[in-house]
Amino acid sequence: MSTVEHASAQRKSLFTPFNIVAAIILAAGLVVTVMRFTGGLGAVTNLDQNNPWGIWIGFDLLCGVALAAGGYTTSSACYIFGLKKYHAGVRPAILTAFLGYALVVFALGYDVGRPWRLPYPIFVQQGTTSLLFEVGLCVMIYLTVLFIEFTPAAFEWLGFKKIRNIVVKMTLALTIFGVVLSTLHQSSLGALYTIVPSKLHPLWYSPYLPLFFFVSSICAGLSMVIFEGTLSHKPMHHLMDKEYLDNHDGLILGFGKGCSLILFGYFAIKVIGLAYDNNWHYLATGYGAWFLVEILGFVALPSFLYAIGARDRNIPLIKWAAGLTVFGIIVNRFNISMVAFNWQLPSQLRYFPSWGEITISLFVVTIGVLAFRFISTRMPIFYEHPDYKGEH
Amino acid sequence: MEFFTLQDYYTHTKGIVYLIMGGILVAATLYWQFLMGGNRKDD
Amino acid sequence: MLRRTFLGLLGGAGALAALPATAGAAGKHFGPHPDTMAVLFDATRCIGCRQCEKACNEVNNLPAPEKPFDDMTVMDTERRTDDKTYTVVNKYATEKGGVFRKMQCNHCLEPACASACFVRAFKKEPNGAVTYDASVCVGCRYCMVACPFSIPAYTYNDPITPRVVKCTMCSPRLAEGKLPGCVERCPKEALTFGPREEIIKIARARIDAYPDRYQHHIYGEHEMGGTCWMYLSGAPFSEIGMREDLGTTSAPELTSGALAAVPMVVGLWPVLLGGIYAVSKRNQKVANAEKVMAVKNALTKASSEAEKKLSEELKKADVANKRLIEVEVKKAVEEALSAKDEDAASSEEES
Ligand code: SF4
Ligand code: SF4
Ligand code: SF4
Repeated sequence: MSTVEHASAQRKSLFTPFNIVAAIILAAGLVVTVMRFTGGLGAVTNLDQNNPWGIWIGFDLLCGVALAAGGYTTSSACYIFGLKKYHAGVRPAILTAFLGYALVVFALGYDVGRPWRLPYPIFVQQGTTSLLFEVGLCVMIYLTVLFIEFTPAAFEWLGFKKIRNIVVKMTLALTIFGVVLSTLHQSSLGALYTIVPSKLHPLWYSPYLPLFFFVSSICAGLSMVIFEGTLSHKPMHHLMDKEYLDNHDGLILGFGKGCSLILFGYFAIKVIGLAYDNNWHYLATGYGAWFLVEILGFVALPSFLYAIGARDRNIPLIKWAAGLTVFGIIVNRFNISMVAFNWQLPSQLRYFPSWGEITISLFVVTIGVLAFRFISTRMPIFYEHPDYKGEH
Repeated sequence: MEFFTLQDYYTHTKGIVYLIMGGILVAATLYWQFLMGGNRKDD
Repeated sequence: MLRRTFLGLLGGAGALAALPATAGAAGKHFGPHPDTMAVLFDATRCIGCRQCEKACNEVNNLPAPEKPFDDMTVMDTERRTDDKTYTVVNKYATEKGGVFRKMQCNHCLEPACASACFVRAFKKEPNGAVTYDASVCVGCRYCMVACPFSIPAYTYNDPITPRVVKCTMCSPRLAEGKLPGCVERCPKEALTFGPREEIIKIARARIDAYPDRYQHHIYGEHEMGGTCWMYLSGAPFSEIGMREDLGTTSAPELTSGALAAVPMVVGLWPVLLGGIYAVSKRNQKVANAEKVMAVKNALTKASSEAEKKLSEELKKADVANKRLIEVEVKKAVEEALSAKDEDAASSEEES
């Protein structure tokens, strides 16, 4: 009798609303996966000869990489700028970044025509004048760096003391490599579009695109750390140790303040970009209105909300500002890759994602969340391993 | 070597620069250790 | 701290953006290869017979089209090159009446597709053709994004061997000494093939001979750094579906600024970040040392105070003791004296 009760209790805990939704998405994703690799890209996407890039690039690649910037921002704040009090936030951020990049590469496997050739640009024939080559090279190396940065948690879990200590010794070098590589590929993602002044709306096209992408990635990274700390706070609370919880509010305040300032700088350079290309007159058009929504509603406003939140030590307000910033970065990447791209084409030739593409994007995000949950409930992510306490 | 397009020229020069970049990353690490590894008394 | 260092980062990044946009190409000129061939399309001669489309389909063994090449109704809608067609002829209503225009890869002198491809699948041949090698193509489709003329197409419905599709300028035929298929077939000589220098001269001569008939512009002479297919038209080019806002900056020049910044980041970021690290560590050390000192000072201060207090206490205690002793002594003396007095008195009584 007791075993029956036990089993049913377990079943109940498995059938949470979250798990049910996740299972549905996974099942749908698998179906679309089979269709994609048996019928080709045309079978599941709305891509066409005029619109070669859809949300698998606009969301999975551009947003994925920007939102995974929390890894290099947090680890550099802690290990390079010496803000040791953020130490407890580093591991969750590194894990998120690692999973984020791994999923970006995974999603690219759906988007490119012959995914098994993805190593070609690096090992077979190097197209060194391509910004995409630069992105590919950096993402590959950075994924390795993130993996190494993440391994101490796994080694502690497995009890491999020696090798764990060796890796921990390399922290500074890995962190600096991480920042160099991130600077390069975050900005190069923006620079991808510097080759198409004729296809990207002038309000979004700028020779400063690489700089815009880099600066906004810092905002995205900091906001993602705040945002995601909030999300995992409830389900993971029992795993968080005193150090994590004690420093959590301090981290939110500090990151909020930093993000507010950087958003201010981002707003400033966006305006400078506008002036540099003398694009003021476009502001009076429909695209101009949307551009203003982007830079006022999703850059200036969160910057200001962050500032108020930091002044009043209003943690919930900072969290809202973080959510708004993250959403704003997604809007920006969508604008550049889809909304303002091919703006010269008549509306019937424009792109809109298909259900298959949306399903795969959700599928990828779901895998990420599940992997994060799996790892953080097992390895020392939100808490310090008792054997290595206070060692930093 | 003679180049007939800017494109080919850049492919060539960027290829060399990429190799140098790899070298710089390694050299920077080693040089840092050399710089920081001396007499530890006064830092 | 956070604020200051991030500002430093921003400043460094800003300095990068200020790098000259054409770094590396300064003072160098790369003319087209002397063997570069070209084709001139003269829209005033084209009658829209679609023979070039047919010829192209045949010489390149392309799949049969949905509608036959003698069906002229396909020209009612504007078409573009796709995964089954290297070239199309479109009809445009212009101020000079209906005008036909052929479209195919323009074989740019500085091809955007080649600049964008991260496996160098495209090659600018000495004869001017921009050729594509499907054996290395990953299928990222960045070339399609990059091409300012929206020419390359992709076989989206092929799951195993998808590839980019575009006009080859009949490079294999050129190697055999033949004309491009479409040029050979054109019944109206709307297409003229020859060395690029010659073709430009021919185009100029036509404009000079009939200045009223032509727009005074050879489309493709300078567009996007120049192309191997060039166009003459009576109607404004924008009216026959050709963009006049492309400018003359070639694709490699457009990206050279961003590419030039890349190695600078690698060279200077470790220096900058290492410096910040060293400074912040040093600050921390100083702060730590100060903390230690402060604790020490506090301790010594406290202990010296305690000592002082003790000695004061002692002193006070001394005084009190002395007083006590004095009192005691006094008492004793007094007692002794009074005893003596009593003694004396009693002895006086006794004696
Ligand atoms: S027209 Fe487009 S595809 Fe053809 S060479 Fe130029 S950039 Fe490449
Ligand atoms: S689709 Fe192929 S040819 Fe085009 S850029 Fe990508 S790898 Fe190069
Ligand atoms: S040059 Fe050859 S491949 Fe190009 S359009 Fe003409 S026939 Fe077709």
